[in-house]
Amino acid sequence: MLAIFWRKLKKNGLMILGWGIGLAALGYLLFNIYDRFFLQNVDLQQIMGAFPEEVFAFFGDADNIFDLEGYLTLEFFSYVPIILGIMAVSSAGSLIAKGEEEGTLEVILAQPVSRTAVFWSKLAALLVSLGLILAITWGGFALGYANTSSFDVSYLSLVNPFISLFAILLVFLSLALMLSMILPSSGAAGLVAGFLLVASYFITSLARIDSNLEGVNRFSPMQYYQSGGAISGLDWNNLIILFAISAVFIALAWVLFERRDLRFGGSGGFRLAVRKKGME
Amino acid sequence: MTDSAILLEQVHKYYGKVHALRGLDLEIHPGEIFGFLGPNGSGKTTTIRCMLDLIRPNRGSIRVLGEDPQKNPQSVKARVGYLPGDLQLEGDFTARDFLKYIRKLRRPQRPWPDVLNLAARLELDLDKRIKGLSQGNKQKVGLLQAFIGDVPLMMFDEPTLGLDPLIQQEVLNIVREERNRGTTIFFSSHILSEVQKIADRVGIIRRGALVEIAQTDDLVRRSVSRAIIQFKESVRDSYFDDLPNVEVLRVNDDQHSFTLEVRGEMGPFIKALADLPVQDLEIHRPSLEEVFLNYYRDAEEEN
Repeated sequence: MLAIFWRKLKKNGLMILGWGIGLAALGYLLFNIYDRFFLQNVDLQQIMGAFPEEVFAFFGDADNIFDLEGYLTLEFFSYVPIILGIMAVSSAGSLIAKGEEEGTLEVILAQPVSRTAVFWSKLAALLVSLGLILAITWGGFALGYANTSSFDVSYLSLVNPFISLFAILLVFLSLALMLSMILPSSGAAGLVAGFLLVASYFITSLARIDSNLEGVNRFSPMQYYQSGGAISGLDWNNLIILFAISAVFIALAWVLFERRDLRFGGSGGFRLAVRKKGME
Repeated sequence: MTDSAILLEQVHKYYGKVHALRGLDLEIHPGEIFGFLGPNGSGKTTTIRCMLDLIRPNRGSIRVLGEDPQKNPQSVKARVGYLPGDLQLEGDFTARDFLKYIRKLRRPQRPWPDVLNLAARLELDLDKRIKGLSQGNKQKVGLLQAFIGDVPLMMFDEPTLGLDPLIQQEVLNIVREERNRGTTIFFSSHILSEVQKIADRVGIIRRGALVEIAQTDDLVRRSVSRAIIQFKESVRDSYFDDLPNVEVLRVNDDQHSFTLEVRGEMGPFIKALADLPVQDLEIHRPSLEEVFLNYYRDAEEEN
């Protein structure tokens, strides 16, 4: 239903602008910083070069932090999945469940709209919001790149890491959405998905240093995230894996929402509230 | 096409171990105003939510306007206007924008000027943000959204909650007008006097099962009435011992004045009085509230 989609997208307007402009400004500045410090200050290069390789491996396995891929990995794409991921899991955890907790979904679902329409409209709006944040961010990168002569890549190749970033965010977003269908509150869903996001980040980062973690790392979605390395080309296998995992979580969330009772109650844990209010 | 606007047969609903609806049977006729009574936790809201597929019954059959809401929820909801009892609205809308939003989700719709007219009758300022409205004004917005669709059935869960007496009266007028258009009205309320004013029939639900369903007037008539009789001369109180369903509550010293309790129909009692020197007769009908309380008092005594 377009009305629900536009309503949700409009509600996300400030979030899109806030995150998008903030990250775009950061992206723009990163290119200026590179020109001013990394290339002109030889001492800085020596200092950075003195760090153990493990430090750089932890932040994205960059071969060379002085090329564009390594630099953007270290300065942006290594940690942004955590920052945007927290926003994504929080938004996804509350996408449907918040309306149930607050009781506002009852009026909407009493209209002749299906649960499927509500689910997909809200999810589509969230995905478009995330896409717009990344597109605005890319815009900042493109502007910064236009002002530098240090690198020689196409604007289109700068899109690649954002596609990989979108894919990894989608995994945790869809996980949070699925968890919100089974856990007692949107907060709990966001918390658990956020914990798994951070755990996955650390497992994959540490696995680059400690080979004993390779076994666990196989189950970490973060290992399929390409970071800045995607500038030189997307690994489609990794992308397909991330999209497939997301599709499974989204399908589960959809089926669960379709089949279960709508929950009613105040914010927070609302199992208790169901017993109190739902019986009336 | 079914003859019933709503038909529930042996509906059971569990919340975990809590048995909220225990084989509920209920039939609502097209074009009537039906008052659904019961205290908190008796199953009123659960019943309504099952009828709109917001929650699903564990067993039993539900037909709303001839359709199963679990199988054809959109079709049912397109023909039902609903006001939730625990109404919560998104606060960042103005009332006008919220109603326009709901309008986008509804087909067929009532003409927008009709909605504006209802808003004026309820004295609602449509341009205020919902989060800044009082509970009563939020309730008005909730009522208006229930009237957005052009529907043959409306369900109200506590429609006059939080409204001042004048607006309550206006809401009851609007509900009557809807019934006169042929709309079936199903509503639950704690304000029994208002149910008595407008409901054609009432059902009383207790612990998830229907304990009584009747024409509102019949229910009141069938219940206990109080008669105060003045006789021109003294009358033996034993005279009333043989009358069925009559009990003497009080007699004054000279046997001229009696206070009696009469259960059920008054006809036999009035006939019996014809042989006595009656000077004055007052009959106090109980309010629906007293009838309702009697049901619950009886139930508690049984337990």
